[in-house]
Amino acid sequence: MAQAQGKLPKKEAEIFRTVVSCYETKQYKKGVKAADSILKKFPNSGETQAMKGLLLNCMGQKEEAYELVKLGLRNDVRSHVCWHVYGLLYRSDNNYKEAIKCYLNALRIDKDNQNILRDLSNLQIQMRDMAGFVTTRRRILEGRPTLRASWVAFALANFAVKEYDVAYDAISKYYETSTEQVEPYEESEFYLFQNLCLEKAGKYDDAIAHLEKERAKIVDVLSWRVKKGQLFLLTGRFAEARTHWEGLVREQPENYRYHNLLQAALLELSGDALQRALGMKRLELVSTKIALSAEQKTLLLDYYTAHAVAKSRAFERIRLFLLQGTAEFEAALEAVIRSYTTSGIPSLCQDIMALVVVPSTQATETALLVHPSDAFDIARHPTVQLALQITARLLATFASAEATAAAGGSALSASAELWLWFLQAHLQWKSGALTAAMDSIERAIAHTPTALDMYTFKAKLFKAQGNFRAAAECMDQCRALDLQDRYLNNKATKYFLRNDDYEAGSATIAMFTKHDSEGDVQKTLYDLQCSWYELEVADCFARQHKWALALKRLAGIRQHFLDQYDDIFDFHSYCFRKTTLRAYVDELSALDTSFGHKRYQRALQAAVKIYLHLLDAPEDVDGLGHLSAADRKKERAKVKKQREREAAERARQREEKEREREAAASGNKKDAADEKEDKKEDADPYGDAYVTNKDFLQEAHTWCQSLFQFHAPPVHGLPDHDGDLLATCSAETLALVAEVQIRRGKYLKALRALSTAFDRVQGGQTVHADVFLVLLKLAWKMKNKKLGTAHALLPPIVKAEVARLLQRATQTALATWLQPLTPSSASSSSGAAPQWRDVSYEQVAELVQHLRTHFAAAPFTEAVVTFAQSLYPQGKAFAVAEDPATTAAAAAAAAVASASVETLADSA
Amino acid sequence: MSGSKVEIGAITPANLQQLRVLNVATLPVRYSDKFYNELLDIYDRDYLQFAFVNGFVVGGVCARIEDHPEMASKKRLYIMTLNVLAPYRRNGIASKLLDHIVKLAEKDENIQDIYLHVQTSNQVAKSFYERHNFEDKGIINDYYKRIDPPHCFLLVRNLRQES
Repeated sequence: MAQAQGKLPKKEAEIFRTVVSCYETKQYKKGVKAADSILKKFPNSGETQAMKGLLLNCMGQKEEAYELVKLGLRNDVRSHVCWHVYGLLYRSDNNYKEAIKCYLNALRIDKDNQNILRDLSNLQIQMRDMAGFVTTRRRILEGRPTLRASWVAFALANFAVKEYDVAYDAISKYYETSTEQVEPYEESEFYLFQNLCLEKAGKYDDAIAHLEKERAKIVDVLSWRVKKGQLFLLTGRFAEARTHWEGLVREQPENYRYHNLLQAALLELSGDALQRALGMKRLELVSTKIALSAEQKTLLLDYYTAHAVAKSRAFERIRLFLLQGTAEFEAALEAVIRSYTTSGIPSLCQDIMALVVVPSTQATETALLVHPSDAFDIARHPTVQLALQITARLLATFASAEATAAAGGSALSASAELWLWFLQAHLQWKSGALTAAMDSIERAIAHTPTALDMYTFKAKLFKAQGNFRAAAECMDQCRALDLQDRYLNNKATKYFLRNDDYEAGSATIAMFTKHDSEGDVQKTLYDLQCSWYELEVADCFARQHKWALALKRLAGIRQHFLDQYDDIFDFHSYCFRKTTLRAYVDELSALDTSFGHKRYQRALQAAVKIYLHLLDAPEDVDGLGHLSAADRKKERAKVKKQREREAAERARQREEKEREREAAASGNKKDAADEKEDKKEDADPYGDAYVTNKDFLQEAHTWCQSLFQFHAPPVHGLPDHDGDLLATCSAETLALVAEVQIRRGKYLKALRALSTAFDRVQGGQTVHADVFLVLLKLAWKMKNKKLGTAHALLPPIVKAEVARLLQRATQTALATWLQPLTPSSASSSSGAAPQWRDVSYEQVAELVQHLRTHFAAAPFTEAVVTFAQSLYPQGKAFAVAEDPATTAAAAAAAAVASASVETLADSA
Repeated sequence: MSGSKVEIGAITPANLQQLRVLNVATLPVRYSDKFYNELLDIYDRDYLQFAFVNGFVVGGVCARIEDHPEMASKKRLYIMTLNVLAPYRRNGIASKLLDHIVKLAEKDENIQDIYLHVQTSNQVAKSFYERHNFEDKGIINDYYKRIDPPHCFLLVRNLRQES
């Protein structure tokens, strides 16, 4: 902390220094006392006021703190101390943007204050203000060239702005100038980071030479070897790469990362294909992810046949994948099914599904393969059909118990029959044959009624059929069979919530939540950041039109992600002092995409959907929008009374506890605990804060903006963060972002989100239905003459782009979505039972909803609904009681929408 | 059994409901809720065991210690249920369960003998016990109330040499 300027007399200046040291040593009360003693004599000492404010902030008195600090600043606006304190105050509230402004002001007054510079640099890296970060770190390095952290952070800053040569040199210079003793591991990390700089700069040959040169100093030998193998590939030295990766695979035969790059070496991949191979994650392999030619496949198959490693599952799986389409495949697949069912491995179906790939619909330079998610594609895949045949054949051998006994030792064991039924059920489910799957799983349960996995799958089938009540009952029954199993408990919780039974769901999860008898289970789960549960609860409330409660849970999930982001703040300066720069760089890039996490995306979608709904129907804010105005008034009065009763009950319980505690309390120690207990009380049990007096469009926009809020505007020459982040969003999210932007009148931004979604699909393919529908809206808005000047201001290129996207989408969209829905086309496939393109009830329900809203007048809508209903006879009815007004509105909207399709598609 | 190992494990409050599922699948007699609720509290848990194959319950034994009616201060073991799911039979699982409790009983010097009832229609069970040194002590008429036939064999295995 900086010293006070010479405004105070010597004695008071002395006291002021005490105040500062009290802050640094966390003696807040003492500090406030000292500050007060100065203020008695010099009530307008700005710096003292600011310091007192900072101390009060640490003691939890936020409002007074802000007032005092602001007052101090008014009294002494030329003081860097006041600005620094103001910055610290904002920083403590994680308001990084404002804090940066304060620090910059402080630095204007005190140019080379190292403390302020250091704090500022931490904020800049936190906000990813990379250009600012580089500048600040350069100033720090100039001021403190002897500190290692100065060099490390300077190197890192340059790495972040892709000045790899500068980053490399910074580390070298540090070595040249420093006499400091460096630990062998730290030194090793320095060299590996330097090597990363060379690689990123594209100097692959130099990087290999560098690795050779520093070999003796690198203690992380495995990283060294992996890096060298990658560099061999990047430089096209395939023979060396092959030997290198063979060595690593021999040592770790189950490591898919090594298999992946061995395949890249064998196939001598280069360019985009090689970049894809290097970027593969988890269990992805060149062989399973890239559409290879017949020769390439043969080459790999021959290799894996000739070099098979006994008992290596990875070798076995990779070879099995490559065998597809050859005469040997059937026997190999049968051997795997026999062996896995005999050992009772439940994940066999997943292993088989890993073999099932189809060409990707994504537009990419290298043709890719994907695992189909659509039951229609899965059912037609030859490997799935073959697996079903083999399973049926093996099951037939159990038809007669005597036959099994007669076959003696060679027969499959009794439990193999169970797992064969289980496998058959899964394959049928994946193929969309839900009824057949249910029959199979019933056979499995009859065989071994104590096998828990059978019940979990049966519940899942009920769920897929839309029978949420039966699913919840089945899962709960399964849970009761093993009360110690947390997985079963969680599943039962989730299924209760899917059945809109919040009471049963929260009671079930409470069985496994550790909490004292008085503790609040929901609070505990929030503290645990149990976001899957919070998401399910939010969805459960939203389905029941309890918007405020749903939004409250969703806000909780957002907070988890914000907390994670804030937590990293304290690590920046730690990492600069250490040398593990490679890990730090990875962590930063992981955080950059954390808002693309599927849980965050789901929460965002749910929240934005609710706010958009409330925007359209503000009278439904408490879920009573379906009532007439008079009834709503009555109902609201009832709810109000009910809440008053509940509040009184809570107050009564609180008092009771209080009394009990007083009776039990023997010492003063308990007081602190009691205070904490009181703070735990939820101030907003109904989530009213999220809907009362809120601008719903602004709230929806805030959610969308949360994807980008931690990113400074793009630096020249660096990738554009907003674009990158849009790319991490799902199609559903992009559609919602676009919808919000349309409503805000920001058509260019809307178009940008939509274009991102379109960029992902290839020519003949269909974009996500949500994206298409929002595009229709955008097109209609832009056609609407009422927009007047706003419309005229839109660049022609935007209009042309919308028209182009629209034409592209209409050509394929409706036909692709609707064709498989009609019974005639479904049953035409080789006379088999009607197939459904997609087995998920939720998706069907959503599609029906879309059709109802946007194509209510279209002739196909009712046909689709009838067919959907026939597919899910036990499911919740698709028919909804609509009041005539909304139906008419929907019909009008549909007419408008279809008109806009035609006119715009024609004009394009 | 071929390829899979049979393991013996205790019946506990957490997995108790699996006993009900096992009994419903294999026994003609329906036990009351009371039977399951009390079981683990009133009987010696050592004699309440499951057989597991690949981690799933495929069989079980429930026996209890009783006062010996003829010998004061001595005990006997009564096998209430011994059952294996149909597809897993003829693999020695029942023998393994029986051996397990016989060995336990042999170690307890107070226990003189083991006895049980077998429905007269169940020849398979009767010969199973006879193979395991149980003696047929005759028929008890109208032992069962709700199943047909209502008669049963009384089977006893003596654990101690007559002194």
